[in-house]
Amino acid sequence: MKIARRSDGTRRRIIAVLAAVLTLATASAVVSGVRAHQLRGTESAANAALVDTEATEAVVEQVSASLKAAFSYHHTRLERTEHAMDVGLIGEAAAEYRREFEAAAQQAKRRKLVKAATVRAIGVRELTDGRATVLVFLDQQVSRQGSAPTSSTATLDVTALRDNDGVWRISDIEGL
Amino acid sequence: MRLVRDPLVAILAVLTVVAVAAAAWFGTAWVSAARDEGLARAEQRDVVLQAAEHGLVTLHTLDHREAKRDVAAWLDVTAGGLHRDLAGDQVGQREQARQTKTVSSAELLRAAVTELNGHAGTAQVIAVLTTTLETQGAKGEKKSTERKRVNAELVRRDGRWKVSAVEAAA
Repeated sequence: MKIARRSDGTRRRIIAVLAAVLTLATASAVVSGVRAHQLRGTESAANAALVDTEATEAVVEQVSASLKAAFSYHHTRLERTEHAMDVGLIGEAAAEYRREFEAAAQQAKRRKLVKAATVRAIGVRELTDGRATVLVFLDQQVSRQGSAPTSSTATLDVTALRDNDGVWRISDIEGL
Repeated sequence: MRLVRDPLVAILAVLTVVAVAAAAWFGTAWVSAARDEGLARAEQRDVVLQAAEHGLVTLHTLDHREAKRDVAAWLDVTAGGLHRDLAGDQVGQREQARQTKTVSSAELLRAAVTELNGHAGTAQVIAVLTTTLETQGAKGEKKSTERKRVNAELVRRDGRWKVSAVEAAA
């Protein structure tokens, strides 16, 4: 079978066009790939704080509630605070705070103390898939029957982890 | 067709198709990243945070020997009401610093953006700093270090975020 031969000129032209398109396409693939990676691969991009507003809100709400419950107590209902610790705190934070609370609980019973903790300000610093770091200003007011309450504010750098059910639990509390 | 059986042309053609597909793929990825509002917001959050950190440290820095420079730096990092207050009393600030021989400095420990409105160009930041204040008065030298918790308000002016209000949190 005989096929019509194209001239060498046509072949060269086709090769030149293909080579040019190949070069351009490769270059633009590389440039856009690098740019896309630069935009998505930054530290800013990995941090979802205030970007994922729903998750940020959940962290703020749950960490606030846990701190408030775990840092407040009434000398007649100390088991409530212990329950709040069991629910809201895990790991290092749970172990450490439990030790501290035992001493505080003894004193609370003896001196009939009531402590109320409220979150004055809270901001999520970092939020990734299952981990959040949160800056908290926690007001604490201790009152004793028959005397004026004393107030103080703690600055806490809190780390929270999300469990499989989507619940945020405090795993570390650093006082600043 | 004979050309298709030409090995060089065939290989080039395949490579070209692959390269064009890759360019389209990565090009789309680039465009989507550039238009991604989440990425833009994440970047803006960190720009605000940096501006707040820089602004708060600057506002707590004053050396009586360089009072003019330091007060000018305060004006540079502020806007709105705070800027007006500071600008209105520049001479007083410098004079007071000279009289008390004040040297103050600050280190920022932690900060977090608590609110960010990119369209309006407003943001709220909470921060904790360690401030050091040295003064020399009639009673001699005094040096004190303090942990400061602040709420700061920032506004965007000509593309730069500046501190428009600072108040002590507790």
